[in-house]
Amino acid sequence: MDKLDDAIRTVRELDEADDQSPLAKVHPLAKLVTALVFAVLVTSVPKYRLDLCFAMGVWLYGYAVFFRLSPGECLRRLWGLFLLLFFVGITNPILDRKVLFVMGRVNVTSGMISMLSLFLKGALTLFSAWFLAVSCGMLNILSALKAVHVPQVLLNVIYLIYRYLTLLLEEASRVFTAYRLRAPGQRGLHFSVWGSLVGSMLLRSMDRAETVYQSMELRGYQPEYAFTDSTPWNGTSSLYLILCLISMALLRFIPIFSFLGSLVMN
Amino acid sequence: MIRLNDISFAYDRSRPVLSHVSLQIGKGERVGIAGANGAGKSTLLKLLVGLLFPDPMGKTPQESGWIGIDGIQVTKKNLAAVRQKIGYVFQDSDAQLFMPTVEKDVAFAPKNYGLDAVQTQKRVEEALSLVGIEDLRKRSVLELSGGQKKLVSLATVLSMRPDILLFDEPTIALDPGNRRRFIRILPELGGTHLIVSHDLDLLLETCGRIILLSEGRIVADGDTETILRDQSLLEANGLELPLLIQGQRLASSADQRTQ
Ligand SMILES: Nc1ncnc2c1ncn2[C@@H]1O[C@H](COP(=O)(O)OP(=O)(O)O)[C@@H](O)[C@H]1O
Ligand SMILES: [Mg+2]
Repeated sequence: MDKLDDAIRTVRELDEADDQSPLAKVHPLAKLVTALVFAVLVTSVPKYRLDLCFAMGVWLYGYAVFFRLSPGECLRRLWGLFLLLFFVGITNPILDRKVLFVMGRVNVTSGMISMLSLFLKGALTLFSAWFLAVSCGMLNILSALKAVHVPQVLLNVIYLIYRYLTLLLEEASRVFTAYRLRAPGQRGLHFSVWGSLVGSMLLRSMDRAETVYQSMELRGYQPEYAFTDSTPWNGTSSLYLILCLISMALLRFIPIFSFLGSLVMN
Repeated sequence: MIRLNDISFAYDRSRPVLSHVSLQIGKGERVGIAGANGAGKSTLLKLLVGLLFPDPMGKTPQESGWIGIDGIQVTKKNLAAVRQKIGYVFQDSDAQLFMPTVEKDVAFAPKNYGLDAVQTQKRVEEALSLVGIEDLRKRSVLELSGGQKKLVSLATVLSMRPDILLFDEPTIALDPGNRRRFIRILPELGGTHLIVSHDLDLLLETCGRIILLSEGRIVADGDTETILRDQSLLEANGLELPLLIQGQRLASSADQRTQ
């Protein structure tokens, strides 16, 4: 199944960062902190403040352009998650119908605004998490977390789940192919076989997870020492961190867009 | 040197998988372990690298036998030291490979052993060129054929520069061309080799010594020619004469008839 294979590739490629990226010289910890602060700033935007969501979007877009990261790539790979986000706030316009203003013939309600801002906030967080993942790589993120003393046990669990994810997807792809070959002309899976397919998928992937873990162990993976990163912090990282945090905070706390908006209105 | 001294093992107590196995393999030897399906061959390899531990069978560890690799006993405490000496090529290459690209998979072990980027890269180059797969370097592991995956698995353990290589059914998924290639590469790798297989032709061509395992016991241990020509011994243990020897026999009996 092509979509599944795509997903497998996506997950695997997140393993390590692209060395050619202009962000390669920045310490993973700096990128991690930036992404975390961004997530906090975005999610704390009040729910009717579309202008601030917009401002944070502008910041992230600028970031992507500056560091040559591709939002399109993120959309293409994670479109399912974006779709999911869209449905998260879908009940807001129904529940919250207070009319805020009228645009042409449409009554714009506060529910519509809050749904939109919820979607934007989610989408921006997703984009920034994706940018972090592609510019850092899973292993580097883990070593950054280790540097700030996140417990090793937690890191190992995250790492193994991440490893397990590819196996699960691969098994899903195999099981699905085997099914399709014996059920030609069918679209999707007939519900009567879901149980047994999912069952065999889980069993097989767990089996393989065990062997893969053995293979990691035999090649020197020691959970207690993993993710020790020796790359030193450098000036570039400090500069990056300071500039990112300042520019982000400015856009978040100074309502530039509503100010511009009021200028236009007047 | 590999030593097993009176090793017994069972996954569940009622069905012993290995019983009182003792053997000794010298430095630089290439030994084949032959036996039918379920004879306990893979289990034996897993014991050597400490993926499994011998069953004490109610006795104290001193009485229950031990495994030594270059004088280091395989215990939980010594695992890191033991494993650094051994490269284990899995039967299922899919299970062995998990990194996004060939290059990164081959680099996994040296990185874990604390080599820096430059040294790691050197090890990667060395392993890829030993196996002759430099051109696969940037490929995604998902896109490789069975034969290529096997060669990559081999490279991923060679990058640790192990003294001992263990192969579990190395040729089982290979086509004749790749099988040939594997056989050609083997002598160039150096070190002690232990090859588990029921592909007796492979063992005939590559090994000087054969250990025949049946239902968890060693039923024969000797030089390749003697054991692999012993038709009744092989058949009693669920195996057949290697095709090469069957062919030689057919040819010589045909010769006798024409004379
Ligand atoms: N994980 C396991 N749990 C229980 N039994 C096992 C397990 N792995 C192997 N066995 C059993 O142990 C015996 C020997 O297996 P194995 O060493 O894989 O044989 P071989 O590699 O010679 O074919 C077989 O009877 C097999 O069913
Ligand atoms: Mg086996």
